[in-house]
Amino acid sequence: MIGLIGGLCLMMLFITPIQATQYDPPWAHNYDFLYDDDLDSRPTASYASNIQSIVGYDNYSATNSDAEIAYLRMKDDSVFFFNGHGMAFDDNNYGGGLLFYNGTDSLLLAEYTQWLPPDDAYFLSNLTTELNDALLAVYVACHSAHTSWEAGNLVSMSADKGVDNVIGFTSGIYAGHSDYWANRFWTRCINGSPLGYHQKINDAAQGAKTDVLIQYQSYGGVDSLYGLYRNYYGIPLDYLDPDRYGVI
Amino acid sequence: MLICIIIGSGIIVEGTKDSNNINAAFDSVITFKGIEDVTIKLTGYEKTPYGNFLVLSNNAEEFWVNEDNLEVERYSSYFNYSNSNIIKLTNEEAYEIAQKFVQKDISTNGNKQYQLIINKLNDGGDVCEYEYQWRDYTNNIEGPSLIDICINPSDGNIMSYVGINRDIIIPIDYSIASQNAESLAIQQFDSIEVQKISSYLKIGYDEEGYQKLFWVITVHCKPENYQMQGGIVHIDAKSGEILRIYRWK
Repeated sequence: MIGLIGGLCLMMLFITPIQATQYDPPWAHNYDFLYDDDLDSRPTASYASNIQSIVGYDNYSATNSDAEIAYLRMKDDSVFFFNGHGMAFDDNNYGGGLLFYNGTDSLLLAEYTQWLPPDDAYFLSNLTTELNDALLAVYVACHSAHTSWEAGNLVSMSADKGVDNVIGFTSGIYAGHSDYWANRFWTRCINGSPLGYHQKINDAAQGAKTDVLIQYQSYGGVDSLYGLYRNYYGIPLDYLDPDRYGVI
Repeated sequence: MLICIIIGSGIIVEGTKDSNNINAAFDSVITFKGIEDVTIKLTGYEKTPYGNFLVLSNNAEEFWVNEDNLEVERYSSYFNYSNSNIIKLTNEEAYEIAQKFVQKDISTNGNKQYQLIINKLNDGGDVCEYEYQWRDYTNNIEGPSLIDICINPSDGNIMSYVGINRDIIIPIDYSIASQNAESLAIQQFDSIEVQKISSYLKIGYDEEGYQKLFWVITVHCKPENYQMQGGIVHIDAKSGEILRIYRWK
């Protein structure tokens, strides 16, 4: 009998889905970078963090972080924001991941394929249910919503893993235009600035895109905005506020 | 006539130039919409290189009215984004709607030569759009005017519109040749292997709102360490000064 109970417990251990920890207030992590090629996306992470703070998230921002820390924290995040380099391969294929940098490079990739990645790479495809309760992931990086045979598609993989709202870009984007997009996006999420109303996540993303056209007199690639949003019969549902985790 | 106007607190002073501007801005929105039943409020101001704007909005639409000419130069309708990923219209059908909407802009802009430079379906995942963009050209130099419109591919509604009409007020002569500008642009990047480069002349606005003639040079270099290399460089077409560098992400 004891053996039977022990066996059942062991079986339960194996079949219970891996659940992320939900903190109160929910976590939001934001990353920007100064790379060795002089690409500088600062201080967009602290800007996003301040906005998230206003609506109650337990917010963190970091400049020049490595992928492992972000990957581990992401499992418990409600909101994840990255602003930096996407993936570009020698064969001129693009997409499928994010390039972290803290003096050395490390990668956060969508999926493991036949391509042999460097040692310091982490894969969303290895996760099971940890991202099920994430509300929002924003990947401001070249080709972050584009599929490469080397590493898959970051946006669709995130959505498949359960992130309620995922935003990326299918083409190359320029630093100035996309930094501005990011700041306007976060502002619009809570103020709709200058709209005067908080905006749904998808509306904030679209509004920020047109903000770029007016401010920079061109899109600079941000018209390749690509978003997958939790919706009801085609009507997107979610706002950034109030602070919360996503729907499991 | 039914007009519901809510003025933001502390903004309007009876009988001042500001109040006259704000009232005129509301009138512009009514004219733009073509209906008199408009519920909007003044929600803010925006300072941009194209000028300063009064922003009037409700929870589904925003109208940016230029403070100087009192034209609605930007419109977004968030309600019209619904179900846009269900593609029902052909490009030709959407283009006809777009062209009809902007016909006034194109036909009333004097002697400007507009060219359609963007004509595409943006597959944005859950939000898709047919996008059309016109720019004006003088002697192959891109001018400051801009018309950009996005159409919902499902129902043909206007999702967003930008209509900026500006005359060129600076001389369009220049002394930096395209080859020299491209050479300068390449020097801004460490990468030694340039795969593709293109350039064109543009009259745009600097951060203070002054027109400037400059080269726009796009540089594609071979990726290094998984990083896309290169970017876009703006170079003053008279002095050769590097005005701006935006790297690829």
